[in-house]
Amino acid sequence: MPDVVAAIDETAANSLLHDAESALGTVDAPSGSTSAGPLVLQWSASASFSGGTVAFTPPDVIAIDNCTINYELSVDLSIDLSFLDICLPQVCVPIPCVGNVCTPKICLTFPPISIPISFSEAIEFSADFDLTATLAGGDWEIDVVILGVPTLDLGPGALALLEAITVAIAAALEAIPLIGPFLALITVAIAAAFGIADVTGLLGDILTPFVSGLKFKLYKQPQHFEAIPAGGALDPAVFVTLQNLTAEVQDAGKPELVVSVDI
Amino acid sequence: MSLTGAHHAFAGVSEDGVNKIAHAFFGARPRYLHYGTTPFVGTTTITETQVSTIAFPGIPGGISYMVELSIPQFDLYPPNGPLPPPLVLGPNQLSVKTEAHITLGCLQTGAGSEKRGTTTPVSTDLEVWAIGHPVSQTFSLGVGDIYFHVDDVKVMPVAPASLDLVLDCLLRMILNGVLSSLQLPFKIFNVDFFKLILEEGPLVTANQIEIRGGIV
Repeated sequence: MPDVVAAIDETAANSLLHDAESALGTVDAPSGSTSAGPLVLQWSASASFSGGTVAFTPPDVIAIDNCTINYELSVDLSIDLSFLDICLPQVCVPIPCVGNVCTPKICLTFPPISIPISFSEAIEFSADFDLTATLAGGDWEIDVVILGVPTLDLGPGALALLEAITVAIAAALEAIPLIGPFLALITVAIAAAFGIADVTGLLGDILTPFVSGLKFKLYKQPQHFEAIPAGGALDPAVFVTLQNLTAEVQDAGKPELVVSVDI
Repeated sequence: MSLTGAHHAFAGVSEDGVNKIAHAFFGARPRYLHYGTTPFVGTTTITETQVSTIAFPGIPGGISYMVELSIPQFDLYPPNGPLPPPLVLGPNQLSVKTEAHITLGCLQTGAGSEKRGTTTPVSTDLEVWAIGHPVSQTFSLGVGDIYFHVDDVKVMPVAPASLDLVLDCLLRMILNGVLSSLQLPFKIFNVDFFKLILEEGPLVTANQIEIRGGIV
C-alpha cells in the first residue's frame, strides 16, 4: 500500500485543469512572415487557454473537450503599389515656326504602404491528453500532454481576419492621393494574391505551434517536501522525501485521477 | 469502490505513512518527547522542553523530574496484534505504543538546620499502550490539520491496581499533551495535490486514515 494516496473525480479535475490553464498564462509564438503578390505580412501572436471539460479514460488518458484557445494577432501588412506606377505619355504639337512643342512627361508613383492590423478570436477544440508523472530537477511534476495535433475550426476566424484585412486595406488606400481610379485594379490584384484559402493556411501556421505539444501542469512539488512549516526558532520545519510518485486514471465505479506516493 | 465516493476528492495516509511522518516530526522536533525541570533541563531548546517543578511546602525549589518518551508507534484499525486488556481497538480508532522513561529528582536533605541536600535521579521505564482517534480542525477554506486524541491508556506492568490507575491517568494526560503537538496539515494527506475542503473524516479503516471532501 502506498504511504499516501490522493484522488480526485472529473469535477475536481475540471477545477485543477482551469487552474493549470491560468498558471500557463499567455504564451507567445515565434513571429513570422509571408508574402503573396504585392502583399507582405509580418505577424506576432500570443495565446492563452481557458475552459474545457475533463473526462477520464483509464489508465492514463484524459480527454479535454471544448477547451478554448484565445489568441491575439498583430499583423504588419505591407502593400507594394509599384505595379500601379504610371507615366502619362507626352503629347507633341507641331507649331509653325516653333517646331514641336510637347507636354511635360508626368509620372505617377505609389510608394509602398504599411498597415498595422490587430485581430483576436477564440476557438474551441477537443483533444486527448497523456497523463505523466516525472521527477525533474528535484521536483515531482504531474502533467497532461496533448496527444497529436487537434483539428482547429479555422473557418470563421479566417473569414473574420480576411474581412479585417480588407477593411484595413481599404481605409489605408483611401488616404492615398490620386488613388481613386486605381482602386478597382488594386482590389483585383490583392484578391488574386490573397484569398480565404491563404488566410486559412496562415492561421493554421500561426496557431498550430500553440496546440502542438500543449502541456498543462497539474502538480509540482519538491521531492524534499515540507510536510510541516517551521513554527519558530525552536520548531524547525519537518521534511519528508517523496518517492515513487505515480499518477493514473482508475475506474472502480467512478473515474478518478489517483496519485500515489511513498514517503 | 471508488476512493472519492460521494465527494470530489480523497486523501489518505497509510499506517506506514503515519509512522514515517511521526518519525520525521519527532526527529526534527525532539523537544516534544523530552520534558524536564531544572536541574535536568536548563532551558528549552530544539531537543528538550523545560517545565516547572512541582511546588511543595518544605521542598526547596519544588519537586524536580524528567519525562522522556520514545517516538510513538501507531497502529491503525484493524489491529496488527492484541492489545493489553482492557484496551480494544475498534473501527475509526488507532493504538499508540511508547516507552516512558520517568526520572525523579530525589532530594535527600538532613534534619534540623541541615536542610540543604543532594538531588539524586531515580528512574523507571514504563511500557505505555493507548487507544485513541484522529481529530480534525479547520482554520480556513482548504486549510486545516489532523491530530490524535488518546481515549484510554494502559501502563505495563504496574501494581497495586490503585497505582496502576494513577499512572494510567498520568500517562494518558502526558500522551495527549505530547500528541497535541503532532498536528498533520491536510496537505500531507495529499502531498499538496489540491486544497481539500473537509466534508467527511478523518476515518480510520483498512490501516489508513482517510479524509474526503471538495476542493478549493
